[in-house]
Amino acid sequence: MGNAVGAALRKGSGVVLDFFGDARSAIKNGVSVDPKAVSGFRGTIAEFAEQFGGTVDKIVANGPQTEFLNEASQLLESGGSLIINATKGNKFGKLPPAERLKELGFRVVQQAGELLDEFKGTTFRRTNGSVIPTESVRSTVLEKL
Amino acid sequence: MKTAEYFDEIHFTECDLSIRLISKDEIVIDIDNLEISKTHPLFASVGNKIKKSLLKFYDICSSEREIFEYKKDRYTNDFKEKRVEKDVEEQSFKSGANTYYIEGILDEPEAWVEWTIKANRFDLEIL
Repeated sequence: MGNAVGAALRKGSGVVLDFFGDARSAIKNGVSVDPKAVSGFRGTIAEFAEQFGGTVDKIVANGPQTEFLNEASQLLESGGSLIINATKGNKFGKLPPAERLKELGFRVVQQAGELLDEFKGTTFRRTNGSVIPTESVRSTVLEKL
Repeated sequence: MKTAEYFDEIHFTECDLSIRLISKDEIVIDIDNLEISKTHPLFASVGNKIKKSLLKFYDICSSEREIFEYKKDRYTNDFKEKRVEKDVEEQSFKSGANTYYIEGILDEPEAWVEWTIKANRFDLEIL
């Protein structure tokens, strides 16, 4: 597990940090960061950010369940992207005010728009495993400046 | 324990919903597994998770539910065709209404629901 996480933090590795990725990341080249992770990093995003100081090109947050933008900002390299896939009523999928985003160094590329093609085959679930219809999930894309 | 306002500090995605009452005067929904953020006034006394609560909306202007019913069960990614139910048709003569959005899994029929309610007021009551 440690080697996979180390690989994720090497620049240009192509590995994607999968926040809230459950037991195993379902994303291509994904490393799950989740208290339930069996493969990836078992723990919270805050614990991950504290333990590993590197940066990655891409972070995906599918159905976020806590605040995570501070850690995403810390872990993304300049030009990297953060993709948030969330339903309309997901409080943690909503963006903070523009001033806060600027402080975090994010530029909004897409806000709660159509689900990105790469996730259209994904099954989105709540923490208890129940399914959320894919057509209810929207993608927000942020770029780290 | 009751609170009004702070609707934006409520996280609905993990909720299970059961309809207690829908009328033009009031909508009452039983809610299990509600989450609130640290900035919600109830956080200090109950923490971020509320096992059982009631959400009450008063003086309803409109209520519309988009229903994605599970064909088998909530753990299987297979849905019937989405349908829209308008519980209360828009009543434009009512002024001052706020728009509230709720989502979660409804118990009957077992379905993912996206619910938009325009009402003048709401209360969150912990059971």
